[in-house]
Amino acid sequence: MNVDLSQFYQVFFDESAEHLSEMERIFLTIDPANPDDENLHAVFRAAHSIKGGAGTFGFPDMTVVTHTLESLLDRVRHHEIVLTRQMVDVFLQAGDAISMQLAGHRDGSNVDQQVIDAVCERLNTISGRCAAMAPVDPIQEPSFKGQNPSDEGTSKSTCRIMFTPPPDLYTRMVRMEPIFEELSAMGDLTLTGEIEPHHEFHTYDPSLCRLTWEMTLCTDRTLEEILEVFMFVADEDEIRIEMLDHPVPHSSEKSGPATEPERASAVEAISADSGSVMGRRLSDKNETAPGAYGRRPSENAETSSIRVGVAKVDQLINQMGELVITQAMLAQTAQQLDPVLYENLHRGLSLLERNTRDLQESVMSIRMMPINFIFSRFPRLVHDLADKLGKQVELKQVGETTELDKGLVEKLADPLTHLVRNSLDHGIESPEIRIAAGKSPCGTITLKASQQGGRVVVEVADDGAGLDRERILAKAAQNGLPVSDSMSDDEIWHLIFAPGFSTADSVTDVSGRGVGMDVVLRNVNAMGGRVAIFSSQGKGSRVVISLPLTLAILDGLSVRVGNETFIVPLNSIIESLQPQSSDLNEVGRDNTTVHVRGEYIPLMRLADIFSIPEAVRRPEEAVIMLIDAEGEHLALLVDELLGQHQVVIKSLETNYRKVDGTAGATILGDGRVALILDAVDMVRLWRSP
Amino acid sequence: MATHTKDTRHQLTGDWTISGVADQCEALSKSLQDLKSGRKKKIQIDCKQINSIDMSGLQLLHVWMECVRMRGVETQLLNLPDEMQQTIQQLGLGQCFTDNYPGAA
Repeated sequence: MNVDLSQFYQVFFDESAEHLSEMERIFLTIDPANPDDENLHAVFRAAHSIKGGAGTFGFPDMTVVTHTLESLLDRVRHHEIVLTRQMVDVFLQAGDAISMQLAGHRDGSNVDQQVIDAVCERLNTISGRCAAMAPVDPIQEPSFKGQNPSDEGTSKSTCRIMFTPPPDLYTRMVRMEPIFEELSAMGDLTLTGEIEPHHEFHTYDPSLCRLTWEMTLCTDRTLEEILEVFMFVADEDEIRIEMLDHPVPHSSEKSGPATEPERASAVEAISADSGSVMGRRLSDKNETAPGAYGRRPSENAETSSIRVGVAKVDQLINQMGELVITQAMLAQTAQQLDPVLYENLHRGLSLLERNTRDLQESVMSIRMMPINFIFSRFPRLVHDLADKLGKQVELKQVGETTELDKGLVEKLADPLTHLVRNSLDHGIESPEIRIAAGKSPCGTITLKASQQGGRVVVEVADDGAGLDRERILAKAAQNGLPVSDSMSDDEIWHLIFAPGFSTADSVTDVSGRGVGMDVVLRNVNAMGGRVAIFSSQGKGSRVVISLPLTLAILDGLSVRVGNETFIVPLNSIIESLQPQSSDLNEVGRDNTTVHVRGEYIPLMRLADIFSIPEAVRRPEEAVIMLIDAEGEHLALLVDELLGQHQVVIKSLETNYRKVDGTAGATILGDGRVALILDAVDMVRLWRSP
Repeated sequence: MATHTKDTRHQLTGDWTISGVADQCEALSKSLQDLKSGRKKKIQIDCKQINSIDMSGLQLLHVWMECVRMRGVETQLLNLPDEMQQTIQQLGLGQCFTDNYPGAA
């Protein structure tokens, strides 16, 4: 048998990253004065799982930090030591150190050993300090600990542990050395292994475990803690623990020798009690059961998953796109066939369309990720930066479940980080200034995501000082940018996107170097997105990033203008109507408005925007579509509405070049290419001189 | 070949972890058959060239040695690498190998 352990590394890396992320999330939200027990158990489980995996896969450096962290967390969760804000900070740093080690093994990146050592030292300092301060209260100890005169006053007990592992221990890649090492660290361990004889060598299967162990452990640890060491290897029938010198298993108040049923019931009680709070418990007979392997009940749905390479998913999406196009071609061809004569064919095609749509939605959902994937990093960033800058900041997140394509999620991370850092450094004022301005000393940064009209809109807003119009103008003039006092606020705010532009008085390691906003704009533009800034001096700023659903197969309405066909995203369309002459108003030269239910809406002629000569000129003879361009309503004049379609967005940048006013292109059922309109960009194009 | 026999010395080599025990088992099985036809009273098992060994490898080695002894041939372990000795210690398997290698206890 040849088993390459490295094939499991990626799973370990992924799972450890998830554990670290979960730990960080909990530490950032935990109230040290009143921590939630379930959260404390969860962070312990996470640390324990990482340690177990690191030991199993042969990453001993990771077990050092995780072991120290886990030991401390174990004492915290048993309320042996009191959690403090400083401890939480050190725990967060420990998580960073483990992340660095993980990245070192995964990506071969550098691991700064000084940082690791410093974190270990801090953890050990806490451990030492807490050991010195920990109250000795045997009544409070949730264990079978008893007084042993030979232990100089410490409450130690001796137990015999018999472990008969399952036959598949080797093939599960379990290493027992770290487990025995951990037990050894708990006290005085005597370990004896036995190998079951097998005298018919020709029938011997070397992959089956025939080992059993008997241990004697003198320790002050609880039975529960001993059982936890076997968390990942033992089922309840594979491990047996007997008390030797202190037969009271789980009650410090009880004295006298316990009977055999009492011992058994104590072990069972601990197994049962702890089943809901620990990793894989001894009672996890069914490994797929809820709660097995430390799954929390609320996570059950999420954890029943498989990991698939992104390339495979992309391939699936591309094939799905081709299927949608093929289906559209078939539908178009079938339109020319008599619906009565070819009734069955039409029925079949209708079914095919419905199934294709369902399949497409399912396939697309695979690549979609909640934006929380990015948002989740900001609580830590805000926590650390606010501390560094001496500011009080509350981070609010809205719409974390908004989904967008995985590729966009990854590219959006850097721009959002720049914006949040800017808000913290330049937007939110110090508590003193805020109080003087009549504000709460604690500022608020809001991250908000939503899907609007076929686009994903992400906002970073703060209730800080807002942008300073005069200062930006002065700085822009100083930098040689063409400015005038008559510029609108919107034009002035966009000056901060100029490369190297910064109004910061001093350069800090947070921001102020003038790199950031231009990078934000460039990155967002590269994704086919837009950035808008809204600001009010003294009240705060709001930066809005609007992104297309680049990889989406969207629902659109095909329209004809002259001989060209365009796709208008269905989400952008409010309504379509055929105007009467009385509804149309000429406003100056070439400007027309349409009167719709008391509102005068500017009319855009698609034919003018894309220079199409054969188009219908008189609005009364054409169709007007009312569209929503990020809150602004406009009327779009087209010759004819053709029909509703699902279209596969093909990138024009990749296949041709960027075409203003469009979000991409698609292949129609007849094989022709149609541009997919981007309402906001089209409005911008229409307004540009 | 994972094992080489020369006179009364049996040399173990290579991977004795779960990745390699199947191959080792095959080779050991053949060497057991060879023992039947031989008239050896004792064999020395040289472990110097074992690259790595884990509990599955130690288990295999022990079972094989027991089978050898069942055939009336004594076994003696030689040249255990430090790492192998450490693994024996860490797994509490010293007494399984004590008779054959006093240093392993």
